[in-house]
Amino acid sequence: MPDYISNILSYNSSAPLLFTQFYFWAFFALVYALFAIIISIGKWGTGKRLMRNTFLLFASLFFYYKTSGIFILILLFVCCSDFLIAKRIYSAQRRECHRAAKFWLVLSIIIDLGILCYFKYPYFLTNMLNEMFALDLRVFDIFAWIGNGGSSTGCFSVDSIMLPVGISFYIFQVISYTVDVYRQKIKPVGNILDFGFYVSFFPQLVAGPIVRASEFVEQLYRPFALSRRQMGIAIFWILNGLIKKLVLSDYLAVNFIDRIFDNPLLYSGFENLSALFFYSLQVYADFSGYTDIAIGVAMLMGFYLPKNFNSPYKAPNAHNFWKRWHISLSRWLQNYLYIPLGGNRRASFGTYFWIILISLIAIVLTGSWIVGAVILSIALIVTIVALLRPSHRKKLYANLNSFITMLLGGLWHGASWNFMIWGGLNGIGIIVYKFWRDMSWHWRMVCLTLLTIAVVALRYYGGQLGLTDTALSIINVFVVAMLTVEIVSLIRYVFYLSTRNKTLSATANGIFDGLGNGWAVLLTFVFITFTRLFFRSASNLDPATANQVAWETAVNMLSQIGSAWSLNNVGEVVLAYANVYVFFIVGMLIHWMPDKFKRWYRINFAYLPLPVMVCVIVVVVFFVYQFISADLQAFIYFQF
Amino acid sequence: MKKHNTAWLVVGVLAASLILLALLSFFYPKEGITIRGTTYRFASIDDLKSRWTFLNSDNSADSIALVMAQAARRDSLYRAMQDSLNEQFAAKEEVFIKYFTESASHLYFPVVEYKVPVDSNGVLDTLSVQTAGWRDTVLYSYFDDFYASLDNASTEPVRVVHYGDSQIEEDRLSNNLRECLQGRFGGGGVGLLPYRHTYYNLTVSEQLTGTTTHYSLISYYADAQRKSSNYGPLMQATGINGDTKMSIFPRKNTPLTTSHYFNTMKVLTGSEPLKLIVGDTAITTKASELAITTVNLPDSTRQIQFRIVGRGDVYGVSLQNTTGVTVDNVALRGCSGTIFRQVSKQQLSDYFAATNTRLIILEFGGNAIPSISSQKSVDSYIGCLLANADYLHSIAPTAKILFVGPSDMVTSHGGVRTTYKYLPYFDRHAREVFTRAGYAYWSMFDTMGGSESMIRWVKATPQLAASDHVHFTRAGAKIIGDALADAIIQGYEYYKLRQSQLSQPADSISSDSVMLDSLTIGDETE
Repeated sequence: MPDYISNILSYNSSAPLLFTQFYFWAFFALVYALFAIIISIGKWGTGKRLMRNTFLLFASLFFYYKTSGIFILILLFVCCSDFLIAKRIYSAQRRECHRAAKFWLVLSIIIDLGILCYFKYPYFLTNMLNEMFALDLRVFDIFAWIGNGGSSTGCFSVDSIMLPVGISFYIFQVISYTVDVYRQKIKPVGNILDFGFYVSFFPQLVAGPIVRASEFVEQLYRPFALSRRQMGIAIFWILNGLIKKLVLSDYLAVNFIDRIFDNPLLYSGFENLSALFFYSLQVYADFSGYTDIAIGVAMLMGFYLPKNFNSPYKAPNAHNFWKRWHISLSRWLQNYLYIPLGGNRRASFGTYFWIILISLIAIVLTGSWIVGAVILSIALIVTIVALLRPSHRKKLYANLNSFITMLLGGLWHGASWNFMIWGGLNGIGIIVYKFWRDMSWHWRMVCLTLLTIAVVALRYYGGQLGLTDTALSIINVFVVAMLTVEIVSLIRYVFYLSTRNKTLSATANGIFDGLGNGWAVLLTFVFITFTRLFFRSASNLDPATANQVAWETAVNMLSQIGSAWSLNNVGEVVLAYANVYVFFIVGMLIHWMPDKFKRWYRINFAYLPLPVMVCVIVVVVFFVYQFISADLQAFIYFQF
Repeated sequence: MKKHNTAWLVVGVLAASLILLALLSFFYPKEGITIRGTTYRFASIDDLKSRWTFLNSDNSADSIALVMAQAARRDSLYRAMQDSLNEQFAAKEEVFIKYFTESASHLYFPVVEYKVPVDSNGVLDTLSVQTAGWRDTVLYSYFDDFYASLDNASTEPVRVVHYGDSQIEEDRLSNNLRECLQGRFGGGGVGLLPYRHTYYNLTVSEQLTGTTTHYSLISYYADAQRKSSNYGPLMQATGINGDTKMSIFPRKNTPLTTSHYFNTMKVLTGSEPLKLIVGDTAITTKASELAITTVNLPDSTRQIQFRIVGRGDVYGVSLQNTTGVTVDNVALRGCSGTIFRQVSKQQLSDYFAATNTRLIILEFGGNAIPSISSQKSVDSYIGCLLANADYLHSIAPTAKILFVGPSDMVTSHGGVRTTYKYLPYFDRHAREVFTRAGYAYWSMFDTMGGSESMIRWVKATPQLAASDHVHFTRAGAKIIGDALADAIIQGYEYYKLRQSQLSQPADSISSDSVMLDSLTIGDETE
C-alpha cells in the first residue's frame, strides 16, 4: 500500500483530525460528497435512513480513530453496553418491573462513570488513596496489560493511563440516553447503528456540545432537510468558529497568554493582569469557536446541535453566566445532577453523601483537617438553619445543591484541586448573587462595608500578623477590588436613596438601568476572569504536579498583579503588543454587540449569492492564514 | 428533490472553495506579498505537502528522548570515569579525552597555539588548537587555578559570581551550580542578594519594610536612575532613608539545601555610614565606596532578621559560610551583557578582591539575538561582549571568565517555527572569539541539542521550556543548571587526574600525555 494511503488510514497521535486543519476539510468534503450521493438516491424510508446513519457512523468512527486510535474500542463498548441496557430498562418498564429498571439504570451509570473515572481520574484517585492510607500505589493500565497479552511489557505501557479524546462528552451523552429512557422521555433506539451514530456523530464528538438523547434521537429518523438560508447560516457558523479559534484564541495565546502563564514572575503586574483578561477571551473563543464549527458542520448534514454559548460575557451575574456558558453542560448538570440531588426543593441522601465525600477529598488534597471541618460545619449550619427556619429551607437547600453541582462540574473539567476551587468559586459566586439579589439595599451596604473593612484591615495589619510579601501582594488585589465595589455600590445606594420616592423620566431610568447593568456585566466578567486563574492546568497530570503548577501559577500571577506595577512599563507593553491588545478589544466589542445586530449580519451573509459566498470563504481562509503564519511576537525585554 | 439540491449546493460551495484555494496556493508568491512592511503569506502546495509529512511522522517519541540523551551520555561518561579510577593514567585520560570530544556540553577552554613543522626543512607554522581531541594538558589548564582554589576552599572561601539575563532569574541555573559546588567543596548560603528584591527568588524569601529607593542600571527595576556609577556588584542599589527592617528566610515548600544554611552575613554599603542592628548588636558601617561589614552568626543559621538605619546606599546582603564556596546569582533582565563599564570600577574590583572571586560566569546574548540582522552585527556585538569580559578580567585578575552562550531560541517564519537565523552563527563565533581571547566558553545551545531543539523542549513532558520558546521552565532550568555544573566538575575531575599524575615519580609519567607527535585530532579541532 502506498505510504500516503497508509498515512491517511492509520492513526498518528501527533496528527489528530481537527477542525482547524486543512485535512479535516478535505475529509469533510469527501464525506459530504458521498453523503449527498446517499441522500439523493431513491425515496426516503427506513432503508435509506439506515444507509445515511450507517454511513455517518462509519465516517464518525474513522474520524475518532484518527483522533484517538485504539480508544475507539471504548467508544464501541459504551455504545453496545448502553444500547443493550436501555432496551432492558424499557422492557422492564413495560412489564412494570420498576426495581429491575432501576437496577439496569444503576448498572449503566456504574459502567459509564466507572469508565470515565478509570481514564479521567486514575492519578487523582491513586493519590487520594495514598494520602489517606499512607500507601504507595501506582496507576496500572489493565487494558494495556490485556493488550500485551497479560504482560506488563509489550506494545502498550502499563505505567500510565492516557485520557481518550472526548470521553467526558460521549459518556455524558450515553448517561443522558439511559436516564431519559428510564424517565420515559424517549423510547430506546431500535437499531444499534442508529444509536452508534447518535453517540459518535463526529462534529460534536470531541468537544461537544453535549447532545442530550431527548434532543437528538428523534432527528435520527428525520429525512435530510436543509434550506438555502440554513446552508448560509451553517457556513457562517463555520467561518465564525474558525476566526474565533485561530485569530482570537490561538494568536492571543501564542503571542501573549501562554508565555505569561508559563512564567508569570518574569512579567509585570500589568502584563499578568492583561494575560488573565486575554485568557478569558481566549478560552471563550477557543471553546465556542470549536462548537460553532461543530454546529455548522452538523447543520450542513441536516442535524441540529443545541446552542452552547450565548454571549456569556454579557451576563450580569454568575447565575446568569452559567445559563450562557457551556449551556449543554449546565443543562446536563441541572437535569442529571442538580435535580436528582433535590434541586431547589429539598436535600436528598445524595446531598449529604457528596458533602461528606467532598470534605474528605478536601482534607486529603490540602492535608488539613481544618478545610474539611469548615466545609462540614458550613453544611451543618445550613442544615440546622434549614430545619429551624422552614421559610428559608428551600432557598438554603437550593444553594447547597447548587454548590455541590458546581463543585462536581469543576471536577468534570479535570481531576485536580484547582478545578474544584474553580467550581467552588463559581458556586460561591452564584450563592452570593442570590443572597445579594434578595437583600435590601441597606443590608447590602452593611455586609459589603464590613467585608471591605475586614480586607483593608487584613492588609494593614498583615505585616504584624506575619503574612509574607506574597500574601500581602495578593491581599492588595482584593483591597483594590473591594474598594472599587464599595465605591460603586455606595454611589448606587445614594442614587437609590435619593430616587426611591421619586418618579424618574423614562430616559433617565433607561440611562441609570443601563449604567447599572453595565456595571453588573463588568463585575461578573472580572469575577469570572478571576476564577480562571484556577482553570488553566493540565487535567490528567499527576494531581500533585497539576495542583502545584496550578496553585503556583495562580499565586504568582496574583502576587505580581498586586505588586509589580510600573507606569512606565504599561506604555511599553501596550506599544510592544499593540496587535494583541487591539485584537482583544475588538474581540470584546464584537462579543458585546447587540444580538439583533449579530443576527442581522448573520442572515445577510446567509442570503449572499453563492459565488460571493465562495469568495468570502476564500478571503476568510486567507485572512485566518495570516494569523497562523504570523511571526512570533518577541519578548519585549529584548530591548535593552 | 429541492432539499437534495441543497446538499449538492453545499458540495458545489465546498468544491469551488477548495479549487479557488488550491489555485491561490499555486499562484501565490511563496515569499508572500509585502505591503507597507507587512508580509501577507499563503500556504503553497509544497507547504501543504510538508505539513502532511510532518503530521504523519511520529515525532512524539523524540520530544523528551533527545533532550535526555545529552544527560544520559554525560552520565555514561561520568560512570566510565569512575570505573577507570583503578586503571592506568592513560586509560583514565582516554575517558576524559572522549568526554571532551563527544559530549556536546563540555567546557571549551582557551585556544592554544602550537608551532608545528609543515615541511622537511623544519619551517614552522602556527596551529591553533581547541580542547577537543587533543591530549596536551596545557589545553585543559585554564581553570587549574580556580580548581586549586576549590581544593583550598575549606580554609579560604571562594566566590563564583554568575551574571546573566532573565534566563537565570529566580536563582535558576545558579542554584544548581551552587548546590553542586557546595556539596563537593563545602560552603553554604545563597550568596549576594539585593537589599530590596526585584524579582522572585526560588531559594529564599525576603521581606523589607521601610522607606527605600531602588536604583538600577536596568530601567525595568528602577525607581530612579542616578548620576554616579555607584551601583555595586549587583548593578543595583537600594537607597534607604530612616529605619528599615529586613527578614530573609527559606522559601516555603522548598527542600532545604546548602543554600539555606549560613554562618556569616556580609552587608555591602556605601560612603555614608549606616547603623546595622542584628539582635542586640549594633554596628556602624564604614564609610567607603564599597564597605563590607561582616556579621558572624551561629552555624547552620537558616533565617535572619536585621535592621539598617540611616540614610545611604545598601548594595546587597550576602549570606554565606566563612569557608567553602559561595555562588552569587545576578540576573539582569533584558540586559545584553554590555553594561559592566557603567558600574564603578572601584566597587567591582573591591568586591571581587574582598570576596576572593575566582570565577565570573557571563550568560548573555539572548536579548540581542532577535534584533540581529547580519553576521556583521553578530561580530560587532560579540566584540562588545569581549570588551566587557576583558574589562572584568582587568579588575578581577585572579578570576577566570566563563562565557555561556544563549539557549536555542525559536521564532516563527511563515507559520513555521525555526531557530533565529543568526543564533547558530553567534554560538560558533562567540566560542571562537572567547576561547581565542583566553577565556572559557560553554554552549547552552549545543547542550540543548542545537537548532530547533527549543521546540522539543517546549513539547516535552514535563514541559522544559516556556511557550515563548525562549525561557526555560524550572524543570528545564534544572537540566541546564545541572549540565553547567557537571561541565565544570568534569573539568575538575580531569584536573585532579592530572594533579595525581604530576605527583607520581617522573619516570612513571606517560609520555603520550605531552608529546606532540602523538596528537590525535578530534572532530572539533579548529
